[in-house]
Amino acid sequence: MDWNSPFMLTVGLPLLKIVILLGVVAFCVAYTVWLERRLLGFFQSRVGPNRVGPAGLIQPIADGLKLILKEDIIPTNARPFLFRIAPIFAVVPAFAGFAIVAFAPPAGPRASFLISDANIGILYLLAITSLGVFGIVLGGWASGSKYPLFGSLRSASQMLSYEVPLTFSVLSVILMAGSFRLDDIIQAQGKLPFLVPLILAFGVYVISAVAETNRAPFDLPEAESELVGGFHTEYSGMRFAFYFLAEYANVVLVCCVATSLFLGGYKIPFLPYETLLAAHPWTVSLIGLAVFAVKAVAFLYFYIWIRATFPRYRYDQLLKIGWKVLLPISLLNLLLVAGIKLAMLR
Amino acid sequence: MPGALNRLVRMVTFPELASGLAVTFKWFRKPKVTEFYPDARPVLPYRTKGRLHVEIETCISCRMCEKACPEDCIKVYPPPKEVFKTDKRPAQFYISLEHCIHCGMCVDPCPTGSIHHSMEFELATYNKDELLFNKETLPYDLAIKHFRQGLLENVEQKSP
Amino acid sequence: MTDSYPSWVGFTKLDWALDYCRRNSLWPMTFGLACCAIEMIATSASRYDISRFGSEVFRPSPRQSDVMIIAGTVTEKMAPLVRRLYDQMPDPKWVIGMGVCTVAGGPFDTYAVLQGVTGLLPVDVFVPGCPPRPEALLYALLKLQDKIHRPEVARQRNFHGPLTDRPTKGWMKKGEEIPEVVAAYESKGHTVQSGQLVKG
Repeated sequence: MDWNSPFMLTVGLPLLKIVILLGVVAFCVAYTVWLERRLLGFFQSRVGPNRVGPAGLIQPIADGLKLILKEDIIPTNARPFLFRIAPIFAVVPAFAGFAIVAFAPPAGPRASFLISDANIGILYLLAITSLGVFGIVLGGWASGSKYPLFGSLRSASQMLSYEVPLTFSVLSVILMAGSFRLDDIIQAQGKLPFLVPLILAFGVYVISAVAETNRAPFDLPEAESELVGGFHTEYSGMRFAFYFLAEYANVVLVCCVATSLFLGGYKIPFLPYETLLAAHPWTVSLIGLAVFAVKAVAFLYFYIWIRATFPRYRYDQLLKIGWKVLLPISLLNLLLVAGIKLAMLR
Repeated sequence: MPGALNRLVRMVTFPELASGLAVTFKWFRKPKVTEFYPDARPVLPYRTKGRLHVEIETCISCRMCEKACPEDCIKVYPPPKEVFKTDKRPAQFYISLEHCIHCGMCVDPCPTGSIHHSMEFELATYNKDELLFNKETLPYDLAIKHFRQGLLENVEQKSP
Repeated sequence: MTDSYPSWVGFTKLDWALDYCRRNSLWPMTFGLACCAIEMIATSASRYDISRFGSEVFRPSPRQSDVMIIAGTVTEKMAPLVRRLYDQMPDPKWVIGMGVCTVAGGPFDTYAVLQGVTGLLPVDVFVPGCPPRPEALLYALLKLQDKIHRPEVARQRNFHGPLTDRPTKGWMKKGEEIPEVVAAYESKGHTVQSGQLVKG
């Protein structure tokens, strides 16, 4: 096979990468669920799933296969077509966001660890993750039942509100790095991760990301005590598994993006990656991948820790935090960063 | 002004949230309290009210337990009169776990102490007919049950 | 037919794998009717921890749950709702009847209470007790898993055998005499005959 033919470079290689990435991400998502259940168990002084396979490692496979084999119910009141395609609307953006994440330094001109080296990577990411709300709104509306409708309405306003502080906190990162490319942002953190100068933006990002992915303590769209199951109340079997997959894929995506934007991505501070890369490309690439994975899992641990600790917010409190606290803080932070940058340019 | 500054600092740094996270992390590091039930013997309190056991050998068919039962789940059939003069053991003894609420009211009036609660709790069945216990099944392997739950010493020493 | 595939191919293997998946992710419904629900909550809490069997995912919606634990008294007024929730669950689905109220009405022998739920739902496992201990509910869950895996055990009358596919450490079969126990009882003046305690 000719790897240098234009067809392979433009279609074949990206397709191969996409297939590999989809598999890896699906695997990661499944074991994120397992990790969450085990860690939640530990946080609550119990052990979590440990009997299905060694240390409960077969648990996510058992859950997935069981959900696929369950009966698929479409309620009488539902709009069947929208009901069927809504979970796909939720899953596709969650997975499409991984296209611009740089997992490791490139080992060669054709062996980069990212699918699309787009120069507007961050804008693409913000746009595509905002599309995820369509799946939730469509699913809730198409179910033809009141609780899913309330859940989807809540979800829509929550995701729209938290999109704004999230974007502003990401904007301050873009100001610091001076580029929309994710790889450039990671390169700009060679000496110091942005976590240190942009601690305020990091805080805003974490809170908004938790709210964006509808997770505790902001899991109001699926608040069990008021809204049964929220937007996926009427979904069963495989379609519910799709929503499950989308939620956890979003979690993994947020972890990857936070690692890239704030924790320095695959960089270890003060390690001269460029000179090492020229000498041993593949070794350094794989080390970078491992560094990225460790940072992402650490962030995931923090995410689950938050879920195990805080009770759910009331709905008006949620919107109040979004508009009255996070938005001014993120705007202030953006102004500060812009001022400092301007002063340094002078 | 210092109050306002303090408020601003608290608004940005969230000390309450940090203390909450510290509490959960403390429990994360502690040893877990879970009992591994099917793999290990559960530690039951020694006055656990499990299934009723009847020692048919010492029972004198006085039917005090049957009268005391608020659920009417005990049925005692005394032996015929000729036999009763010499052997007072019941001809048949039924306890229906379909109705038994483990209240212990039958245990108190028993003059010979033949009926008592055991530590047996694994009573789940596929068929509800199996919940009717008779003369043969009522005194079922008491010793083994007690040993299995590691309660032999407790029962022998602590019970009054 | 038997020649068309090699001898190591077995059709039961997929069934085995699928049943393994089904029985190890039994998601119960968040559904408590009376005092037994407190014991059900205790079962999912730290000390008894139903999550070890993969069952801690209490789904709020019947559409996503596999097993309905009828925890408590079913009144005549609640009965249609219970039945409706059961009908809303997707197949395959199972029912655990918890407490004597679900077996035969329990202490409530009145016109307002359903005298056992067998006329309302097909119950797979009954757990007597008022209420049963959390371990008793876990045992019922294990029995249900056993039934999913080997449906033939449910057809046997008075099946009290050990749960075969889950080997448990340090457990005895029924009717098995343990020398230590016999010695302990005999030292106190009792006699043990064929697994039974006979007062000496």
